[in-house]
Amino acid sequence: MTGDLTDAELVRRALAGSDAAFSRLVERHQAAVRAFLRRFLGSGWAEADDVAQDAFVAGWTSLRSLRDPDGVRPWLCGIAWRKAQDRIRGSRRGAARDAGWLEAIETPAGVPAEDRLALRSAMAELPTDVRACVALCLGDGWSHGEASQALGLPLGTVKSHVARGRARLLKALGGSDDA
Amino acid sequence: MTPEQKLAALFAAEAPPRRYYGFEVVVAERIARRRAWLTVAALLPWLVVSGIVLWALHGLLLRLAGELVPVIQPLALVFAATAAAAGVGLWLTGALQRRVTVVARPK
Repeated sequence: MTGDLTDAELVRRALAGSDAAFSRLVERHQAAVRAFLRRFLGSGWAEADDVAQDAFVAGWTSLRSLRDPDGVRPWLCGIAWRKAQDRIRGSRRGAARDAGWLEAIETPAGVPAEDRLALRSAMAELPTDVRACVALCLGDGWSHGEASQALGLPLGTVKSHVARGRARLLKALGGSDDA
Repeated sequence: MTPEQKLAALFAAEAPPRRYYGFEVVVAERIARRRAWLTVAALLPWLVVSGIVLWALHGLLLRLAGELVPVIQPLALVFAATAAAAGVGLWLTGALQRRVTVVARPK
């Protein structure tokens, strides 16, 4: 019944009290939010999903503050990003997280396991802003504009963060310094 | 394989499935619980107003109390027992759900 509706229409119905409409928004955007959080937090699915659930519940609570109903995905990822930053500040980022990451990631065919570890290490060393831009633009294929909207960063900053983060990741994977 | 290809392959390997029913169910459950609590919270002002009205009328009620006690007492007991049972039921439902819900996570 809500399958073909636009995000804006789903938001309007959710604001009118329809839980089915909000569930459709969750269904539509959960993959993007979870993927972003997993890459940003650098942990397994469990922690990413915990934060993603918090983000969606917070989104439901503050749906009225959404200014552009067509921009639900960047808005939700923005909430998720702030929740993830809180989680990073307030929690342990140690052996447990690293172990979770190692268990969770499968190495694709043709990629040595050392490269997987190198990418993990390089991602963990990126500053949080840069990591978030890399996770969205390189990991999930977002445009710089969408990432800028989601993270609340200037467009130029997003572009430079993505370029810098990409260069560091490629270097960790065996590329040259000016990659 | 070039570093660019490795990077793309590693990122692609982490991509989650497009749908994850377990996650959607947990979010829906948390929202339903939040809505229930918000509904209860919305009733609190009415409770306060009712209390104030009853306090204002207590003089009149005291005069009528002698006649009303036999009627009100059993009703009050029923209401109190129902409210207590509903509260315990709500709490137990949440506690049991947290205890027994097993969410299958995709790898």
